[in-house]
Amino acid sequence: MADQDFRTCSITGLKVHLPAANLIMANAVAAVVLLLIGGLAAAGVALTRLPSIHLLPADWFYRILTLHGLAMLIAWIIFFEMAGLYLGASVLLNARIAAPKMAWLQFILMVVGVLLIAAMVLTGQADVMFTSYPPLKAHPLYYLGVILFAVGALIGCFVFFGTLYKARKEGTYPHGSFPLVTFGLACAAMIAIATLLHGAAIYIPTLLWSLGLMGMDESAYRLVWWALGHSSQQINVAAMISVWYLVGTLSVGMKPISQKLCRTAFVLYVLFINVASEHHILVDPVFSNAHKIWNTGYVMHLAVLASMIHALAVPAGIEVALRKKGYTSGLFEWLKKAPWSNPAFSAIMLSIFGFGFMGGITGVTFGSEQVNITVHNTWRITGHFHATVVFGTTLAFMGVTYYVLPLIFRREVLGMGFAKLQPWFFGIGMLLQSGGMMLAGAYGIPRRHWDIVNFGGSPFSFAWDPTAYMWLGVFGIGALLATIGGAIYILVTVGTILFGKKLA
Amino acid sequence: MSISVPEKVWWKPIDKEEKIWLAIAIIWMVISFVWMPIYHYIGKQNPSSESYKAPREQFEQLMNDFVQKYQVKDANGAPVVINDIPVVHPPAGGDAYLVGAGWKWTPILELEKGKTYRIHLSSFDFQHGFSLYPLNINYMAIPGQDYVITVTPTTSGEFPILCNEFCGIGHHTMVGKLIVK
Amino acid sequence: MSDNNEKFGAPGTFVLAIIFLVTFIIIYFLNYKYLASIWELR
Repeated sequence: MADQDFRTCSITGLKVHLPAANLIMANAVAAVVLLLIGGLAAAGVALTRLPSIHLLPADWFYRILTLHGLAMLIAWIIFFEMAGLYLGASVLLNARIAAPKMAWLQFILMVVGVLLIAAMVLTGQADVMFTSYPPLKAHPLYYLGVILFAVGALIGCFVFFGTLYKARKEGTYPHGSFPLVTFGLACAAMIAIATLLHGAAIYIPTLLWSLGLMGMDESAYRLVWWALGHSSQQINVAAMISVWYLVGTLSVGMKPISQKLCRTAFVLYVLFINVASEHHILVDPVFSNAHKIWNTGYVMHLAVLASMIHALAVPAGIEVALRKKGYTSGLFEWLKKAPWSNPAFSAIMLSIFGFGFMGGITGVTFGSEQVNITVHNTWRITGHFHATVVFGTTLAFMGVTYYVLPLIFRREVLGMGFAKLQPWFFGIGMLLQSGGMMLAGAYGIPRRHWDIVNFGGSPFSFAWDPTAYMWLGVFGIGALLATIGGAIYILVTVGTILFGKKLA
Repeated sequence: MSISVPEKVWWKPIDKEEKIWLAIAIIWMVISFVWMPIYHYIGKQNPSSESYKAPREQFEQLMNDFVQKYQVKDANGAPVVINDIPVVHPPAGGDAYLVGAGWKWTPILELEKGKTYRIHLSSFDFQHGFSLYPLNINYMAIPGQDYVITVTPTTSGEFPILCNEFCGIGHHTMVGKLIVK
Repeated sequence: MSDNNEKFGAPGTFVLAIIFLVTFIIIYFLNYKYLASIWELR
């Protein structure tokens, strides 16, 4: 074994395979670049939805909104997760990446996919929203871009499992089960493979349809697309929770309170979330109530059970670790004395709060068959998923970055003072933004809508309950704070990579 | 530690605190699950399960017949329109047709409070989101599908209908009206 | 984790988890209560 391919981490003692480090860095950089693009798009969208500003014209609003969804929900998050997979399989196990050339193919395909998607969207040839519901039709190259991106991600998942296999076979880590974080990421990768296969099942026919080679049933599309669409969110959940455990360990020395409970919870995600996508089509024709209830009720709740388990296990592990440090007075001394000035720690704590209280509760509630009638396609939905994917997953990924920078990029974080504030700006911003969206949506404010004041001059234009505008204002303040938080993150990250003090 | 290999045998009994929480979580998940089918029996608001394949020509024919038969006439016997959209008064207990097309909701249904109607919802072009303000009642209008929603309005007034599913550049201009007397 | 089956290892978290559950139940049923006030739909 060529040991010059490895370096030993002076902090964790782990052996880092240099090609793995390069792959992590490449994917992480791509992720942050896409976050920047998605963030600029977010600013454009937010400034347009605020009626007093109404920045973009209609066609550009819908275009930038499409770009925003793709850049954030697909590109930023999946690139970051690829970096996480290499970390979980290679770094945590002292193992070499299996098939580094394939791993680089993963990166190249995803970059090419993103470039194709961006080109099509920005030239107005894919004004279809992230969901691209037929009969809305984009240029065939748009669908090809998504397919290439997905194939790249699929390759990344296979390299991940190949690496795990190799690590086990070569005995690069102490004999026993994979560490919990690796296990969590493996579950995320399993969900990813099933998700991406659903993606192929819908995007290949849609590509053919866009070329005029076959028909496309609108309801069938919705069913299969959401099998891709929702499951991909569960990849994000499993990855986010793995990050919670990782940061918990690195920041306070957290130990899982019960390996059995935590691992079972991850397995529940794998088994059930692939099926539980029908909460997106509860007020659709075609599907029966029985079908909707089984999928949304029985199956989804088994996945939610997993989240409820982690909801206790993660903070409990942190509490136990802090109590061991001596913070045993009363119920909450551990919380008060926790390392809140560690931006990675504060990020995941905020992430846990946001994902659980705001995202999770509203998700299960809005996903119930009957309540959905009052919320479908309103801004309540948008508020819900910003709470889960942004307040939850994105903030957690931002937090772990503060460890990835010194541990993998080997640079001291530049601007630590700002970094400490960053999770608070972003978290509180997202709290107000998501909350504002959900409450405005409760008054009927729709999602994906360019003009709620004049309706483009429609003669049927009407006036909203003024309370809706108040919540829209809260959204605006939240969006501003979150944008500041996002900007600090990008500046700190880029600044660190370019100018941060090099670590030995 | 979450980043290190666990002990050899980690399949151990879980602690009391975790057992209690697990039991609570399972109970809550079961309640939340069974509440949905229960609500089909005890609740008055449930998403419709009645839909038919409805090619445009077929639905359009039925809709045009419906408008012809039930369009509201004014004092002089002239058919009533609002902003060029016919106002139609379906029979209580009967069928009504509503379609999203060309960034319009057609026709304007005039219903009576407390009466029940079977509203057939469809689209002639893109997927549209029927959204009745302020209640808020939301259903998908999908081309080629006749989604039958059995509704009993319990409040009267004039209700705007938005579209909340992106359907192209005119999406935000798509506003209609539903009247309940 | 803890050898003592009587004492909770993370009592603070348990309290927070119960608060979470109560919030969940309240929000869930408030939404159903609102739903019950709109038009009848089948």
